[in-house]
Amino acid sequence: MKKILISMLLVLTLVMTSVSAFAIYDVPEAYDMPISDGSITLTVYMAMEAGSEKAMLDYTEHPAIKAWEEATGINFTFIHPPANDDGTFFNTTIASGTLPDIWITGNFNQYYVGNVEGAIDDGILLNLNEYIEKYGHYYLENAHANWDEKAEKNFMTDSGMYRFGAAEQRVPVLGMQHSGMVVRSDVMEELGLEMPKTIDELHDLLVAFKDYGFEVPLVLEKLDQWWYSGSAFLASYLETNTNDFILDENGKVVYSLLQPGYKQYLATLNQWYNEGLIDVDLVSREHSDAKAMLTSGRAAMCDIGNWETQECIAVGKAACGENFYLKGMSCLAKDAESEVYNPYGDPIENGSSTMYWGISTTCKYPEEAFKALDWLYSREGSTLMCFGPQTSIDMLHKDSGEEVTIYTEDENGQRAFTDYILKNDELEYNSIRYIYTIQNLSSEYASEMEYMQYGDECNAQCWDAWTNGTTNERRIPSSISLTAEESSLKVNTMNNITAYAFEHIYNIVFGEESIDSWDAVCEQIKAMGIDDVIAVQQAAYDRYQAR
Amino acid sequence: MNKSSTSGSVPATKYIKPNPFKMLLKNVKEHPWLYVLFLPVLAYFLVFHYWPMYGVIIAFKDYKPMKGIFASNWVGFANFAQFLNGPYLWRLVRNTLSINLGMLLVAFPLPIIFALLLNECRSVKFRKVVQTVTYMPHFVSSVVVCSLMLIFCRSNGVITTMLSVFGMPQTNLFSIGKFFQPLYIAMNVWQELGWDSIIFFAALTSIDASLYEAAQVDGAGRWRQMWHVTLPGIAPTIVILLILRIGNLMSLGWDRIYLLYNEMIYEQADVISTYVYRTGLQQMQYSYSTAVGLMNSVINVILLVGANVVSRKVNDTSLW
Repeated sequence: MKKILISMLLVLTLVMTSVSAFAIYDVPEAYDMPISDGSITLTVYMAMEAGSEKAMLDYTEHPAIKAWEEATGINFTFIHPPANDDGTFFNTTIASGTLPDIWITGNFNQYYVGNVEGAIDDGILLNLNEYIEKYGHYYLENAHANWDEKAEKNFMTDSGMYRFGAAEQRVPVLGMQHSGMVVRSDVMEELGLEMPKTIDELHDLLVAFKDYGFEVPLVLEKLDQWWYSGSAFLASYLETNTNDFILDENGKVVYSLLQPGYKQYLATLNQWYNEGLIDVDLVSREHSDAKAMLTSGRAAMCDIGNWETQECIAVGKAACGENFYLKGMSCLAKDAESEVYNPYGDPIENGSSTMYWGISTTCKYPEEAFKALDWLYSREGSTLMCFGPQTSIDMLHKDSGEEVTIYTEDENGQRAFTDYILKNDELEYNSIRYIYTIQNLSSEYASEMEYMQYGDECNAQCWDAWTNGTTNERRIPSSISLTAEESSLKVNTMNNITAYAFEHIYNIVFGEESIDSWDAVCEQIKAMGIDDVIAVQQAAYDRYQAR
Repeated sequence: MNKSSTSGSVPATKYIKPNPFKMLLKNVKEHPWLYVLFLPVLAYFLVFHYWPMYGVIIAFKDYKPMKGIFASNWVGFANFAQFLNGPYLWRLVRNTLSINLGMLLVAFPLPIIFALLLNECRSVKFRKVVQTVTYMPHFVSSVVVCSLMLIFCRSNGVITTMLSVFGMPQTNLFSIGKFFQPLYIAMNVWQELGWDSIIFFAALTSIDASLYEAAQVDGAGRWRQMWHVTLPGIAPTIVILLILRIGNLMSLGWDRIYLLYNEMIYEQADVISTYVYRTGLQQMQYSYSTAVGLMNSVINVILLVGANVVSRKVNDTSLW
């Protein structure tokens, strides 16, 4: 009888743990709102969304922030880093010792030596685990309700720290590839050419574009822009990437620059430079500049985000005529039988970001600050930041005092922006929506909103070309987590390696150095300690796989 | 009657070293308002130049902002050793020196020549117009000037197109390392020529007009007057400015170079200050970058003192 009882108990335990992976998280009781009586003011460090600056000086004027203040009873002031901060402003803010109360930023994971966990070890950030388990009602409730097993894989770091603000729930739209190469399809059709699928076909197309009269057939941005992945499609068919850690055919972590295909990739860029097919001003080309070359008819191909497609076509039509049109081009295949590797973004199953919502150790009201952030995981809070307040004063004509409706919600809970946002006469969609919504404070990745912005035929075609039929199984998920020590090693070593390698990459592409010198560069990269970083990445990837 | 007076010899006077503190006090009492006016300048130097100097301690520590300067761990000379043993030492020193020497050879004498030429100009109206036009670029922000340079030097830029007439390649000039330093020096000359000449104009006006009259009586033409009156008249100013320039041979503002360079031309463009900026502020290696900056400052002080000693011995003009 005793044996039977023990067996039953074991089986029950097994069933319980397998049925719900989230059973380990106890959801604490909801707290009373408002959180404070209006006597607390918290300073928030976060970037302004591009577009919002057209209607306000800082977020204290933002309608969603005003609604957040009203709901929580907490006043917020803001420190906004300059647009495109390269880490300088973030680093000096930390070095000043005068810290904001709340951090809404991916900078700890991008620039801080040791990542978020390093910042906790260094006494800059609080470890929020205690607060989440004690007060994180909406965060944990959301996890139970909306997150599946794959999302849960990104829920915590390997050391057990909640990735607060980062681990978004999985929605189909996350599976889409949101940026990639576009081609002047109107000219392509005029020349009777088809969308290229291999490197030779692409070369022929670029030569045809050159003969047609394009100043720069393929415009690429300078290397420190993330759009530089625009040339990643030239590396991916060679089973490597521009500058990243990837997986080889055996699933082992390797450094893309050391892959055999990388030399061929550089040789191709050098050859195309000599033939006048790529941008000779690549070293100083910003993304906005490259986009302007495309829409003004000086370039025929460029890497853009799908959120920019409609705007580019509209500007292009005005500048080059009504026939101007862009179509997304898929990554290249090695040959007809080969798989098409997608070198961009994260693997589809990821659904997470480098974003982190943190609270400084110097914050006088950590409990209130945490609850204010946690509330953004409630349905009300996530809708507020994702879709804005339902009605608001018209921010484009504040003096008029008129109210506008930002979104509607039907009886099924389906939310939709009104035409004021979708078809605004004065501002394009991506500017007007960020005057009422804040993506960095959105705990939700709302599919309906994403589909709304990609409602045009050109968006659907780009999504299809960039995503379908490609695999990104060689990519390493961004949510692998490194310990503070591993991160320090990686950041310090990679700073030196990247600076060293890209000096030579530029010089090889522009013919200032022979392609044969690449072997010596690879040897130097090894001497600078790349094997140690690969080992760290491998260990982190193995831990991720074992989660 | 004392002994010395009876002997008829000169009394021996003992030299009493003046007490600098008493002298200062006396001076303050004599000119109180001048010192009141001086106070804000003194406060500026104390607050912004001397007080922050204690921060150089972090060059010898593993500085962590939240621990603070004094609680961070000591690491001795590890940061200095890292730089001295690193791969970029020679390149950074070489570029910093070569750009500064280029500036010394080109950008230093040109304002002097410009001031001398303009001084010879008879038309006051023309002189004023030229002065105003040449001062104006000084007031344009470095960011704007550098952005214009980047645009003008692109493959289809104005400067590139003009230079291509003389056989230069029609490509982005900032992608070719050997062009960086000449372009940088030319940009600085364009922006600062007028402004830098002001001090020489001021020196020129202080030359006694009777010296010119005497030279004319002696039959000196304009060239001789300039050579024997004008140049010696402004020579002390030139020497003082030269000493200051030499004292800054290892210093170079990071901002303009940072705005102009790119990875492709680091070999010719990366200097100590840009390296300190990148490692310190972008990569958060505060202690390491402070060590590099401190080393640079020490070399600058040595150069300054050396130039001052040489100048004092050669032509009796020196800073102190």
